[in-house]
Amino acid sequence: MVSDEVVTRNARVELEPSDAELVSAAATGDLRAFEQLVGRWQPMVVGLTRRAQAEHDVVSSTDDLAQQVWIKVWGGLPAFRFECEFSTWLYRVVSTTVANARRARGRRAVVVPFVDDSAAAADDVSEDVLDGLLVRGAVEDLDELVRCVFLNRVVHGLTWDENASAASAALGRHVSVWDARSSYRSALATLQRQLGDQ
Amino acid sequence: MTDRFDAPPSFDELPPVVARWAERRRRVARQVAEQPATEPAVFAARLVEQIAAAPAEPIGRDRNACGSLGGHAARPARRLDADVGDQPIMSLTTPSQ
Repeated sequence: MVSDEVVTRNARVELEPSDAELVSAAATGDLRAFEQLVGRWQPMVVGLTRRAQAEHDVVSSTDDLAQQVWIKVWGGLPAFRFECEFSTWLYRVVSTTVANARRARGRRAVVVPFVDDSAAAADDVSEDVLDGLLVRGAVEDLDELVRCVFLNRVVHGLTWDENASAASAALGRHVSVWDARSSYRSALATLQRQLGDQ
Repeated sequence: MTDRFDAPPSFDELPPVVARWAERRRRVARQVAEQPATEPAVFAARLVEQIAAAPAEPIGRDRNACGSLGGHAARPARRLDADVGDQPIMSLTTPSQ
């Protein structure tokens, strides 16, 4: 005997359109479907955007960046061919959007405030810029898994368990705690070799 | 639950330049984590409102645009992010009138 509650819950699940259905409808211009898609995935987009903001050093409004992400998604949906998961595509759009925001900031001149302690401020700015250039290049050259584990550890402060789970989700394959630890050791060795005297 | 950002960073094993770089990114992570996020349903409703109200040209769809944004389809006639620019068309944090 199936309870009324189970029947109601199942009916509700069946009424809920899948991502693929929403994507297909939104691709034809259905804004209601797009709104549902956004409502469903926005928490993930916020989480991914915040992570990317930290990694790319972009202190903008997460909502504003998320808005840019969704506008790109809206524009790109007609060409989305389901060759990958919708979530994987979203992940790429978030990364591109935040990296573009960093590059846009990089194109603007660094303005040092004209105050009495401007020399000290200039030193701080120069140090940040130099550190950024040196380290970002070295980190971006790391193998994908090694880079992911390294950032999870030193930027996001994840435990080894969390790190392995996050790396598995980001890379779409199983990453064990052992893999995470050995990748981190590999990152340390590479960075020590390249930047140990800096 | 312990706030992991409050835990002292163990950067001793990192080269100093990497430790400074990582410390700055932790500060950014903390800053963005403290930003209030608009409730998803509200965000979605406002976004759709903005798209519906915007003129077709600035955020219009480009049927030739590559869905992956990475470039395996035909060359896009115009990049999507060029339409959007660096700034949002309108801040969603302020409710529209």
